[in-house]
Amino acid sequence: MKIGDMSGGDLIERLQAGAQAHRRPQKTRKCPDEDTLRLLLPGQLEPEEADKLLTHAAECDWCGTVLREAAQDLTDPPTGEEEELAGKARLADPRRRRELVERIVTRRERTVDRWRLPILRWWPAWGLAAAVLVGGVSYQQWMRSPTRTEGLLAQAYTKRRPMEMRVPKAEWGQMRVQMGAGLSSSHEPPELLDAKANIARGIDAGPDDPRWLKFEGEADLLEGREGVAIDELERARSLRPGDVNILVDLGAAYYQRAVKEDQPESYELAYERLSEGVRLKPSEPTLLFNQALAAEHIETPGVAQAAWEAYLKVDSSGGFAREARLHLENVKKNSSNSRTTPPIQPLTH
Amino acid sequence: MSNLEPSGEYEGGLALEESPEELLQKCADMDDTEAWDRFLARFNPLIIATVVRTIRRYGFDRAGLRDDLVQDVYLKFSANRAKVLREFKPLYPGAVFGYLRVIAANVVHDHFKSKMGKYSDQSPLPDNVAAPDETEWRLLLRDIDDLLKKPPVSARDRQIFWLYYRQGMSAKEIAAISSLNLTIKGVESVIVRLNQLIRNAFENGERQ
Repeated sequence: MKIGDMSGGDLIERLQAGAQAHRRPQKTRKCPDEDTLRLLLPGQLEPEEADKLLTHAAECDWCGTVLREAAQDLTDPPTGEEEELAGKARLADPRRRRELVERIVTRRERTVDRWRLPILRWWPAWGLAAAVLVGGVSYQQWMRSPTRTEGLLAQAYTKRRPMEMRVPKAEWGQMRVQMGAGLSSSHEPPELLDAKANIARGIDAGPDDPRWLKFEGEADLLEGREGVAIDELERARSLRPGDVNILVDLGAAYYQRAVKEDQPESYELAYERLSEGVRLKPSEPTLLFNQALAAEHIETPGVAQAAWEAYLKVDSSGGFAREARLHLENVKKNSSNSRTTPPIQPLTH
Repeated sequence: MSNLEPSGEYEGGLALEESPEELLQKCADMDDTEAWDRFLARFNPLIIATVVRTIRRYGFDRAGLRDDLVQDVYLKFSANRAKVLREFKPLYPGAVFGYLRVIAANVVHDHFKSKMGKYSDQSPLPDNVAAPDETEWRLLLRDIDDLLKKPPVSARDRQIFWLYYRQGMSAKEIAAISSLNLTIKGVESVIVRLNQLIRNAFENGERQ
């Protein structure tokens, strides 16, 4: 049936032409959340809400377009070309799928296990009692706050620096190479233990709070568990894509995996994440330092040299700057060679 | 019934011992590795294809970004103890396919929204007819809407009319809105009926 043939002739044509010409897609305060609007398509909203949203979308050029485009994208089955691309994707590899499944399920188990620990199950009660004893809740709140937790992790890094890459807010520290996958708790700096207690509470209260997921990932990274850290930090990134501190840690985690497991593609992922961060915040020293480190492994010596020079423009003194100069010298020495430069030994005192 | 259900090949060639809805329920428990294996085997091509299509709306088509966003989709599925999976309502057979596609598309839109600070380009409708003056058009819009607000026109039919004529959605796209519960023919029938009603009203001088 062709509707145009049965339309009200000129009247309907004028109506349609006006709709095209005077279209003003502008989001207003009355517009619903776009993710919710798209849920109209599979019918996942309550009838009353669906009715309200449809009435709005029918009259709102912004929401009408969101709905129209979603229907266009999601109505037709995948094309042959899209199927072909699906076959080439990373997760088309059953081994990669298995890794992802393990991360998903393991993460759940870790969260549950943590809650089952008696010390943590009773922690809220202990915390409340302590707060009463010291005469106020605010001190306890500060002790457990994200700001303090971030500081604790930075101090733990500086005290027992486990890798060449930097983490946000941390001062320079002497690097100590870890043996094995992680530190035993007896060798962990007390700051890291304190941070982990805060993180456990934060994650239990909000399993999808990107701040706590970021700290959880950073703590795992400091303990040498970069595989788990990548999972947590990728989750944090998906929840807060523009957070450069998450990208710093994520780049460091991929870099560590590349170093430990000899995975060249992880260097690329590290460089990609760090470059994403640099685009968002071009003068952030931590990002520039880490990006330059990753660049040594995947870019030409010229690019790596430029990256170190860019870092030294924003940080020219202190321990990290000394390391940067050593890297720069090393890169320059190798600049005639097209192969990637081998990583140098970090500065130790 | 929704048009969002894909063709049979997305069953992943598996023996269908369990419905997609049952599989979703098992995954929502977050402790069944085998169920998640089956979930990925069954839905992964559909998820990837949806991500590819949505990325292209923003003018991107890079393998690395594609893979990252597909991973983000799975993290979204499993986030908050698989809240997204737990919230799914199996209102009709095959609803799960459309639901997963919408969630996947939302992850991509959210990614670009956070990068660009706005929704995609809001593509314009085709412009091939001489447009009336805006004041004249708005008067016409108001007159027609007054008619559509009166019986016997239902609120649903009014929505369909404006989705078609104002938002430029096709009958097929409108029929994809499951809450309307109409086939393409059903949508077309509503449009034709309302056209006739409006034409009669204007011819009889009720409106001009």
